[in-house]
Amino acid sequence: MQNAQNTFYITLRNRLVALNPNRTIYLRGITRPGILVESNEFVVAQPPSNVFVMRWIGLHNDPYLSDVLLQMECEIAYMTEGSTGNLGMDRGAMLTQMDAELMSLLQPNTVQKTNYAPAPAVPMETQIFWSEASFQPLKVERDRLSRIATVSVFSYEEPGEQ
Amino acid sequence: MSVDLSVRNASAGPQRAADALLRCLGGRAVLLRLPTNAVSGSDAEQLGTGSPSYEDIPLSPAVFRRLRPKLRDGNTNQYELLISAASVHAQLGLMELASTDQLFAMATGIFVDGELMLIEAAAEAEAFGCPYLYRLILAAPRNQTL
Repeated sequence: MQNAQNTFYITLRNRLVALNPNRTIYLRGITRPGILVESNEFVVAQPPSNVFVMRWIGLHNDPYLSDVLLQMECEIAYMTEGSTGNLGMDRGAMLTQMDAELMSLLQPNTVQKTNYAPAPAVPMETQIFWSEASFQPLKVERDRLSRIATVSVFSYEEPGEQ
Repeated sequence: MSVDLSVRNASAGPQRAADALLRCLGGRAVLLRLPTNAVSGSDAEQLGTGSPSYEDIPLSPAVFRRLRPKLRDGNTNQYELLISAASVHAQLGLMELASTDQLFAMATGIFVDGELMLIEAAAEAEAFGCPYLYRLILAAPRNQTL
């Protein structure tokens, strides 16, 4: 399960670097791609803007299958106040850009599962795959626009995998 | 409409007065916990398997008090921390940071009496354009039973 979650995050991160290298976040003294897993970072009062914030919120296991197929719900939240240069009046356009980027990041919707615990990372036997994103309605909080997209990620548990 | 363009020289007077008041109210020291820089390009850091290190920056004098609790389910206790601006500014200079917003944003919390409290909000009180006091709203960790 952890391998699938890590693989999904690293895949989206690497695709974001290729798609929009300017979407970055300055976090703990370094600049890195603008996507993070919320539970892997320090607790903050509110999520950062202009980056993708991933949360693993659901888990489902079908007991009628011969192999263990896990379905994990991943929530991807993103928000923006626009740019200060445009006095925030481009916040709608910036959110639309993030919508489009997320759709691009999720294609293709399958990738080789990888174990990132050892260094270098080790490719595993199976692949993970995921559904189309389900986009929730826009949420407006003063000058901040935000949206949450949900993706179901599927992964077969391999022998010995935790 | 007129604009007041008169020159008002900032002085350390308000800061000294604030420090004296904080000490009179039982001024104490708290620790601002700052994570040290992450390792650039490390997958382990981003996957939550790294071991982050941190440093504690002492700030004093400060006054720490509990805010009136809001009686709602799931609410954590909130606290107010008043910190001397002189103490905060001294750290800004040492760390070569541009603003206190940056300093508080970098912090993982304030360490008070063995508990790490999350910074929920920060505001400043100023006189003649010069802050003399910082007011932080802190939230207790969920596992704390007070």
